[in-house]
Order: sequence, then C-alpha cells, then structure tokens
Amino acid sequence: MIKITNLEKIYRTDLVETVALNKMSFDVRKGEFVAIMGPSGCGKSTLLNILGLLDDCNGGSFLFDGIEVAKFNEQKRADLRKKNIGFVFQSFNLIDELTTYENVELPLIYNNVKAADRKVLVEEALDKMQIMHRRNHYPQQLSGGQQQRVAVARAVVNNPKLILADEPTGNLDSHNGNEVMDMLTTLNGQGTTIIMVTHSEHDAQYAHRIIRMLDGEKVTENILRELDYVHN
Amino acid sequence: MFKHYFKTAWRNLKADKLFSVLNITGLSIGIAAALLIFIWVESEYNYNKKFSKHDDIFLAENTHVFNGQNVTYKTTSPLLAPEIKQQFPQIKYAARSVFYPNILLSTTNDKIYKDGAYADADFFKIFNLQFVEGSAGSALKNINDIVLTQSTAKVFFGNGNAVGKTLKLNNGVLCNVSAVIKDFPLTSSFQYNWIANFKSFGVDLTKETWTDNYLETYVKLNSAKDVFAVNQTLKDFIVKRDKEANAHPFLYSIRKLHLYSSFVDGKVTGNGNIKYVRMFAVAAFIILLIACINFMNLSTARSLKRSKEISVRKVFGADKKSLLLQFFSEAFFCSALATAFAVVAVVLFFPFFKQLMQLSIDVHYFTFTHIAAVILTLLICTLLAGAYPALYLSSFDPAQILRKQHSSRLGGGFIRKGLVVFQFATCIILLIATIVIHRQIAYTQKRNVGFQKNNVIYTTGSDYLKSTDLLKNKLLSSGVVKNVSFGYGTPIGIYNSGSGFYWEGKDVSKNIDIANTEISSDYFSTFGIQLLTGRDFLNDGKDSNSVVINQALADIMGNEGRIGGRLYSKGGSSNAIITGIVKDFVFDDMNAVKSKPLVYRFDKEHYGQIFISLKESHNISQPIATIKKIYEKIYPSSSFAYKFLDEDFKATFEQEVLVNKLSALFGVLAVFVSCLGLFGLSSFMAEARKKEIGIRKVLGASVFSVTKLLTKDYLKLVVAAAFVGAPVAWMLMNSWLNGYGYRIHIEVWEIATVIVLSLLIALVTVASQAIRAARGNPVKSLKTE
Repeated sequence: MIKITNLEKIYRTDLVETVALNKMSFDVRKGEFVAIMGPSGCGKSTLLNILGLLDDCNGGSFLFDGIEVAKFNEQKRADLRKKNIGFVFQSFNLIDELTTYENVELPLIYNNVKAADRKVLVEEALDKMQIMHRRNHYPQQLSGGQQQRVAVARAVVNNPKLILADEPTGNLDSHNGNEVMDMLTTLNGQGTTIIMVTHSEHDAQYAHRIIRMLDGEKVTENILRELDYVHN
Repeated sequence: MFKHYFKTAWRNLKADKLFSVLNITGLSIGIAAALLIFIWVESEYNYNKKFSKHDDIFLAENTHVFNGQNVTYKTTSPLLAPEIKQQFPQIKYAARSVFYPNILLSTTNDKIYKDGAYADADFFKIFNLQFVEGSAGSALKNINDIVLTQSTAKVFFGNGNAVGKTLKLNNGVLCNVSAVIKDFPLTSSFQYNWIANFKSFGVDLTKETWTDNYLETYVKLNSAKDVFAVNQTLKDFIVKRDKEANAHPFLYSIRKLHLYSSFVDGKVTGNGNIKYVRMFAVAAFIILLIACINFMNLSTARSLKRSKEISVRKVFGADKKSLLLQFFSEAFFCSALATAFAVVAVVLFFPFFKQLMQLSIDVHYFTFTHIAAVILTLLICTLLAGAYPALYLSSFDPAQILRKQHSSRLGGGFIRKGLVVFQFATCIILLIATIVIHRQIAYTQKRNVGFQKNNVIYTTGSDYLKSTDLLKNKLLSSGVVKNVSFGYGTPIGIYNSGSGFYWEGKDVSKNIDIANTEISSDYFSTFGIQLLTGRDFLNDGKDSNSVVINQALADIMGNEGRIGGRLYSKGGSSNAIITGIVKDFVFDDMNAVKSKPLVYRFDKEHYGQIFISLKESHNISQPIATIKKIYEKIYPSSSFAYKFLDEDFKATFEQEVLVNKLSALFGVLAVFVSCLGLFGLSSFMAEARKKEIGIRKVLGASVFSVTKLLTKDYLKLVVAAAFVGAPVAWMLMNSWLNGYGYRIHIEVWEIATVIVLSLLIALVTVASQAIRAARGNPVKSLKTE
C-alpha cells in the first residue's frame, strides 16, 4: 500500500541544515500494523507527516496505492488525505469549540457527505468507540481517555485506508492507553492499515512489525507476527 | 457546510468575549457611520429628481465676461424666457421665476412671512407639482392669482378649501388663491411656499434690457437630447440682440444644479455640494476601514489561539478554499451582527445626526435602495475585514503547528503594525484638520470686517415702507436705539452687481463687476462703516443723483474716484456725483482679503428693510419689545420680523462649520474605534508574551520595566503614525486654507498637540493591559506554558 524509496527531508535555516530523513526506504502492506520507534529527534514525526501528506519531501519516491505522490501539490495532497487517511495524535487535537459529535463529523463535512449519511456514520463511530453518551460534550468536559476515543472515532469515521497514529497513548494512563491500543488493533483486524509512532515498547508489541530509526535513517526492522492475510 | 461555519463562528464569538465585543462595537460604529452618510449622500444625489421628466428640465445660466474672466450667474434677463420659447422649437416650456424671501402674506385674521416666487404659468408645466386643489391649467390664469403650498394654505384656511379665497401679498395686492399644491419636496433646489403670477410682478418688457439679470429662467425641452443643439445656438443668442450685453446663456440640467453648482471661468468645476458629498463619503469609508482593520488585526493576533483548530481542520480534509470560506463566513457573521446593531443605531441616532449636521432630509428607512445599501455595506465590510485574516489563517502549515504544538511567535506582525500606523495616522490627520478648521473659522469670525456686527438688527420682510421718518424719529426717541436707517441689504446681504457703470477714462473694453444697492442716510453710522472723505447722504431730497463709493472702486476709477467724480450708468440713464468714499469693508466673501468695488445709491422711495443699531443692553428682549411696539403701531397690518446681523455673519460660515463638525465627529469616532483595536491588540499581545514576561520577572524585572516593555512598542507605532499623518495633514489642510484669502497658517503647536494627545490616548489604552500582565504571577504563567 505504501512504498517509500530513498525519502529525504532536510530542514534549512540561514545557519543550519538539518537532515531529518536520510534516504529512508520501506514499504507497508495493506492491512499491516507498523510501529515506528526511535529516540526524540530521530525523524519519526517528520516521516509520519510525510506519510500523512501534511508535509512534502526533498527527494525520493513515495508511492501511495501505487501512485507517486511525492510531487503532489497542496490541493492534491489534501484531496488524497481527506479520502484515505485518518490521524490520531498524542495530544488528541480535538477542536475545543466543537462538541464530541461535531469533532467526529468534521472529516465527513470536508468530504461532502450528506447530512443524513453523516449522522449515521458519526453515531456508528461513536458507538464503536463507546463514547456515544458524551456526544454533546465539549473536549474540555472529557477525560484524556475519552478525548482519545473521540479522536480515534474521528480518525475512522470516514473509513480510511490508513490510520497514522503519533504516540496515541503518550498522554494517557496505562488503563486508557491499553484501551486505545485495543481499539487500534480491532480496527487493524477489520482491515485498516495502521502506522504508529511510539516511544512505548509495550504499545509497539501490538504491531506486526517494528521499524527503528536513528538520525533520520532506518536502523532495524523486526517482524513480530505475520500478517494473517493480505486485504484486497 | 455553511451551517457548520456559522456555528463555529458563533461559538468562537461566545468563547472570546473581548474579541467579539471589540470587533462588533468597532464594526457597528463603522457601518453606522457609513449608513448615515449613505442616507445623506442619497438625498444629495436625489436633488430635483422628484420632478417627473427631470432629465428634460434645465435652468438657463449666463456666462458673463469681466476683465477677460468668465463668470457664471444663475440669473438671466426677463427677456430671455419669452424669446427662447419662441425661437427654439426644441423648447416646450419656458418660465421666469423671481425668488422673494420673507414676504408678508396676510388675511384679516392671520399674517405670516414666507418665502415664495413670482413665476410664469409655464412653471407648473415644467415642474410637475402635485395639485391638491385646482390644476396646472388654471393655476396662474389671472394676473392676481396665487398658488399656495398645502402647509401655507393650512395656516390661513385650515383644512378647508383655499381656492377662491383671497389674501394680501406684501401688504399690497389682494391675491386670489387659484390652486393649492403639495409642499415642495425637501430635495428641491427651491422651496417656495407661494407662487404669484409673474405678470403681477410689474415687469415692463419694453423697458427691460439684456443686461438686467435678476431672475431665473427654467426650460423644459421636448427631449434632453436637444440640449447640445440648443446650447450651440443659445451661446450667442443675447450678443446677437445686444452687443454690449456680453452674456452667453446656456441650459444646465436641474439634476446637476445642487451638486455641481460651481463654475470657474465659464466651466463647471465639479465642485459645489459634491465636494462635501465626497468629503463625507471618504470620511465614512475611512471609519469603516478603521473598524475593519480592527477585525483584521484582532483576528490575526488571535491566530495563536486558532492555529490548532486550523491545523486539525487541514489534517482532516479542509483545503484552502474551504478554510477561506470558513473565515469569510466568520467575518460575514461578525459583520452581520454589527450591521444589525448599526441599523438600530442609525434609526436611533439619525435625528441627532440630522440636527448636528443641520440637514433637511426626509428619511424613509425601509426602501429598496436602503436595504441594498445595507447589504452592500455588509458585503464590503466582510470583504475588507475578512480577506486578510482568511488568507493569513488558511495558509498555516499544519505539520509545523502540530509538531511544535503552539508556535510561541506571532506571525503577520509587520502588516499588523502597518495597519495600526494607518489607523493612527488617519486619526492624527482628522484631529489636525479639526483644530485647523476650527481655528480658521474663529480667526475669520474675529476679524475686523470693517462694519459693526453686534447689536444690529434688521427687518426681514420687504414691505415697501412708507412713513419712514416717523418710524425713525419714534425709534430714536425710544431710548433703546442708537441709529436707524433704511435700504436694501445689510453689509452681508448685498447681492446686486453689474458691469453697467462708466466714468471718464474707463477702459470700455474691460467689464468690471460692481456691487450696488440703495440706502438711506445714516446707513453708515448704523453699521459703523467709516467715511474716509466726503459726506453721508442727506435726507433733504437733494441727493437723488449722489452716490457713495468704497475705496476699492475709487482706486479703480483713478482720477474720477474722488469727491465730485462722476459715475454714469449704461445708456446715460443716470449720471451720479460721488459725494462720499467709505473705507473698504468685507461684504461679499467674508474670507476675502480685498473688498470688491461697491456703489451706494440714495433712494428715498423704495426701502425694503429697516436697519437698527441698538444701545448696549443686558436684556436684549426689552429693546426688541419696545421696537416691535412702535413698528406695529405705525404699520398695523405688518408684524415686526427681525434678524440679528451677527447671526447672518455666523451663517456665512455654515459650510466651514459643517466640515468642522464632521471632522470632529469622525475624528473622535476614528480615535475611539482605533483605541478599541489597540486595546484588543495589547491584550492579545500581553497574553502571547505571558511566558516571556514570566521569565523576565523570574530574572528580576520590575512591574515598571515590564509595563514599559509592553507599552513602548505601541507608542513607537503612534510615533510612526505621526511621521506619516502630520505631513499629510499639513499638505491637505494647507491646500484647504489656500482656498481662503484671509487665512491662518498651520502652527507647529497644533500638530504637536495632536501628536502628544494621540500618544497619551494610546498610552492610556495599552497601559492597563500592560500593567495587568506585568503584575501577573510568573510561576503561574510559566506553569501554564
């Protein structure tokens, strides 16, 4: 599903040039759950931003479902992103002015889904994440665990092919963290490809494969378990 | 989608109350100012457009050549209307109209002074006035017919029929009311309360000449398209009939009469009331712009708070277009709320505005044009206020923001600072303008105009006075009066002028426009006009061929400009001897440096006004009551209507006073709205620099030093605004003052005062927020960061 080859990302200021990704290459198959690990500043989040089409790269190739997207402009990236990718962040990133329901509804609005269909899909996602009873609450009225459930519901409501999770349990206690990991595993079991950046060895164990990074490069790749089957 | 945007906009407004209150208040003021001005501008543009087929109606104006200069007058000879109607097939109707202000209308029971006119019957065919009683055909059929407006008729005859009844005009002719028309629209260039038959005005066409231009000639063409052809022929129409007349008439559309009334060297200048319309419109737009700048600045300053939201939206599929749409929707939402408040404010404050600006406007608020204007203002406001924040906020890079969580530095600073500089530069310009205009008015009002303005009253009615000696003696012996004289025109109200004066040695190729009027003896002492040489007119009847001239004319006349010099009128019909020369005084343009040439003729028979200088008195009503009693005893059928000369003097500054009020009002509004923005901005900035302030305080900074740090940036902006605004204000005001002969010069202290005032206002505005931030607990701010 994803194939990156010699991917490069360099940040330049007047005085310094920082190589965030240095000829990084790997691929992710459809239905796979991949954990990316490494120390702070190794380029994990940069990689995730490029995979999520939020950022562009300076060199290399990025095939998404067989299409070269490395040179896509902002509009094309936005189109591809909203149809195919869901995001889960460490700090949840819910919009404070919107209720639980409205936060989850947001991706559907930008995908021009009709109001009636939106209602069905949002309620389904909230149900799945067991947060329906908090549908009219604002993020600041929810606990951290509840906020992350809403964030996961928002990530899946559009039924994306790929979920990118950036330390999804980083701001949660172990109980809530495990619950979120269970949710992601369930989603993965239902066929959603997941790429997760994490510092937690515990969380990484949920994945099929762990890619370890250092200074913008892939250093090791461990397969924890085989993909049961390849989703078509 | 829009529902979602409006919902977000509403919640954002609710969540950030300071932002909302500042923005909506500022925008409401801006929009209200724009709407008030729109109503006024609309009425100015609608002048004379309530007459049906107004495109076909024209006023014949006359361009005269004086000393090689073309001067345009709105008055023409009584010979013109009948002659052109006959000669031009394109002219459907032509009517003469002589305006008569303050004429006594009386019946046995009631008397009232009202403005009106003598006009030809065609007047009612040209101006399609609405008849309440009678008709255009029968309006002025007989010589003594008079047409009254509805409100005038009501004074005399109540709600009953007026047609067929009689009233006395000017204490003389008994007129028969032949029709009643609706009052003239307020947006009409002339406001007549009665129209009498021109035939009763007493014009003998056989004696009239093409050089006697004292009335207005209105024309209705078959089609407005004919005007070019008519004007081509009309140009030499008078010269062909009288070579010496030197007048070139042309037809001028009544639609343009109000706004474009100023002619220089025979050409319309684009000045006139349009100058004020433009000034008002620019002022309103500036206030609106200042309010929109607040919205721009506060929205972009708030970007710190909204960066996460924008990034999340982008991550979940929002493209630039949908974000632009969202921020425009928010600007629209905010502007719409402000517009609603502004509409209410306009309805509430319009009477106050009308009174302040002394406007005569009849407003119907809910018309199609007004609704369209409200919608247009709303859209302009949305675009002005929304465009920059929409572009700025939608360009955020989500990857960067989400990676760093919150950017601690606020972008868009340069533009924001530039906009604040613009706001304060505008305030400085308006405030300097207010001071300069005010000082110019005060300077001219205090000038020694060469005649006494205070304690002089005059009658406003123009009855032909008899028994003047009796009245004068009675008044003088009353003990309340210093001097009494008679004539036409106070030194402020001399309107007759002409080029038909000659003297020995005059260069006949040069036409010189000389003001002239008739007066009695003691006129000069009544008005304190200094006689330089010679004597005043004598009341013994021997002065019928005497004239008194002013120094300006004496200088022009050269050798003949002396006592005993002779002044002839055209055709030699009069031959006058100069018996006195008075010192120049300002009589036409109160701002003029030099006096125009002037001739006073002695006329014992035809006095229209009484001039009375009063003895000093603490209670002015006492002597007035005494005078009224004496006057009404001698003229029992008249009532004593009077005016103070100093009021007339003040009235000559009407336009300057209006501009002054406007600049003061808009200056204060501009300062207020700008300060709203500055307050909001300083509050957001203090919030954004919370962490920095915390660190500084931990490292030992005092409250004063932190306050100084937060305040000085804004004061620098005001200083920058002063560098921009002061030279612009100086240039604008100097060019305005150049229009005045008698003028002040802009002083450095005026500019310095405004700059210091602006700095103080800015300081007070931002200091409260700065002190609050400086006094905050650093531990708290560092923890929250």
